[in-house]
Amino acid sequence: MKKFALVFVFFAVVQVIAQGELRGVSAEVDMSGIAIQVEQTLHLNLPDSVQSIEVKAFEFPGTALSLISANSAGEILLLEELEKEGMKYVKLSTQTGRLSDILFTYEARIAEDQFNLPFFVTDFSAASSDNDFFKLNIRMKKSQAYSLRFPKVDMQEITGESYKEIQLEVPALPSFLGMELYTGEKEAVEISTIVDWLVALIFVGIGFLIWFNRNLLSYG
Amino acid sequence: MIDVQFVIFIGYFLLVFLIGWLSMKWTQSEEDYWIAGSKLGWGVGGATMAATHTSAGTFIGTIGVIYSVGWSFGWVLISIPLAYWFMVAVLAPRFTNVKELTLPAFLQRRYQSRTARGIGGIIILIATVVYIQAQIVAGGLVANVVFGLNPMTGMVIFTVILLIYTLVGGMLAVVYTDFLQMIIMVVGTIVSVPLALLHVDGLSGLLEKVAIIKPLALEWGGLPTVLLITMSLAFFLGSVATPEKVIRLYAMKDMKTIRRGILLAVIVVTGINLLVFILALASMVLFPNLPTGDLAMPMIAKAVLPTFVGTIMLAAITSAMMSTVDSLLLVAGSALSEDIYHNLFHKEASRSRRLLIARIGILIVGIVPLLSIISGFAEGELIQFIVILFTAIMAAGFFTPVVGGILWKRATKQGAIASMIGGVLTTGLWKAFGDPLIYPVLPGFLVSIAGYVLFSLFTQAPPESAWKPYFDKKSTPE
Repeated sequence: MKKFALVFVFFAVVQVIAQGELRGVSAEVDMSGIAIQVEQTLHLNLPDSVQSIEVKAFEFPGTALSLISANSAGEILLLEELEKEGMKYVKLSTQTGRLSDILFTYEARIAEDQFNLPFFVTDFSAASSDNDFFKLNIRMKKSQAYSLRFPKVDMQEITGESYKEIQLEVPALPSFLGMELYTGEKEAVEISTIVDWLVALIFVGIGFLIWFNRNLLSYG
Repeated sequence: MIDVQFVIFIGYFLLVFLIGWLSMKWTQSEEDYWIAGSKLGWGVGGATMAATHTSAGTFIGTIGVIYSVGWSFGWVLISIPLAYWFMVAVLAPRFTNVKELTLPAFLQRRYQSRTARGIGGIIILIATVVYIQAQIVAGGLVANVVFGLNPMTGMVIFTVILLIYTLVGGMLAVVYTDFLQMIIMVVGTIVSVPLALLHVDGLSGLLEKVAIIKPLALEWGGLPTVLLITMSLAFFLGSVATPEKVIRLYAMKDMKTIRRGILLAVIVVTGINLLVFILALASMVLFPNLPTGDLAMPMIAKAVLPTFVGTIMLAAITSAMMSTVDSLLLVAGSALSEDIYHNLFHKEASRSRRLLIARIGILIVGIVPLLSIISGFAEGELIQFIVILFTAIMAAGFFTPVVGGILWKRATKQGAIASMIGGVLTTGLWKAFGDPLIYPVLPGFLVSIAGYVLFSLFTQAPPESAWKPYFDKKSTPE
């Protein structure tokens, strides 16, 4: 019975999915205040018949989400929250018109310096994997030291008078942003750098082993 | 600022070209070019077997399918170690009694038929074009994610690089680059998994999150059972008797080496498949909205792993594709040169002429898939499903005459020819018009067996000289 229900839900969702796609996503994250403010824009291609969609985000320990608003083409959308274990579901509905690009605003209060900030994802497939499919802009105090754990891509840092902005682009929408904020100086060496060097040394070591045993390996 | 990823990739390709050039210098004879002089040890022999098996179908295709349909696809992967066992226990002992340069050459000797050899060569050419297409598509995806190149541009560049070092070095280049690629794949995969798990609170955290975000992914009914069983059959049959794997049995020097080499291959292939399984689940959690499951692994390499590890992992994926494609190109080249041109049209052709024809064949078989992609063939199909189609064609065409040839003395050339033609035709027709829930390999395999047995029984028994070399225990090398 459970399997039947799941399969039914799967096909029902697939029907909606088949009717829409995600053209791109952008997010403005402001970490300069006490709580993190997020404005996430979902650029959608949806048929006129679709008047509500569901978005969802992981719930992480130490990160409390509060929804503020959602609007599409100037219309404020109805928000209906549903929490199941580990995930926050939000149903966004239009009363008057059709849904197009949706601007979704929410707040996250974090308990620790190392945290995961969830992004809201949909069940729609992405329309492309262009490098700028997901654009993220993070604003924080100029003196704030940080480390970006996920997504680990090249980023640009623009420093202003009292604030700085971190900009990055990812070919796909990540389900969360993994960061660590430091109260003092940032760690001199990150774990990722250590891993990189370790792996490089392993390859060098293997290379020497192969060279000194080349005849045995090649001819038995 | 220098792009580190670009530098690592260029460095890797320079190393590969160096190996190709050195191999060209070491290639003294036809035997060197086609089967590495038949003197490989278990280390390189097993590595080349594992690397040939582990292609884009594993790193991109398997992860892509699991991302799309869930972990039920894992059932299909169980057939791989079974196939290797079959290869060692049943096929290799008799098959390697007489060393040949190509698999169709075995068909000619066993069935005393140039026609059988020619048909084998044609099947190889057709199936190779299909398989290489999957790998080229994967190459384009990697180039798109890593360098931001248009996928088509990436595919063209990938094809050109591949053709250069295969044309130059032959089998020696292929096996030594296979060894390098296997090292990269093993280390890259082993390092990638714990790094990916760090982001999702470990294995238990991963399974919890997958259950939340894609609950159907952990249901065993993600793919229909009949389709799973028939796909497993395709993998098993294809893993046993596809030319690019079987020819490596000739490249290893004796049975003892073959056993050790295949044991190494089983350990590596099984281990890698288990690890990519975890990476597939992690990609569902980290990037739930990909346009295609085939992008899952490139995204993990680009946005989850540290720079050097991620780039090396992508180099490993590219390696995996290239090691498979270069093996197939070589097989296709030998099919055109030895099995079709020399065997059917120009028996007096000189060695240099045959080598030239082989290189022309490699060029043609390398470029046709690219043109096919440009024309839109198999557009939108997951890579793994293109790979399985290739496996099905090869399985239906070769499994029965190869395995039957060393197990059944009564098998005749008419049986072998009927088996190959019937098997491949049925597979192709079923793919185009048949029930999609039953994978084409099943009807193709059944028709190939039926044709093999019926045509053999109703035609004259073969002479003793046809089967004796393979059934004579005294000549079995150890």
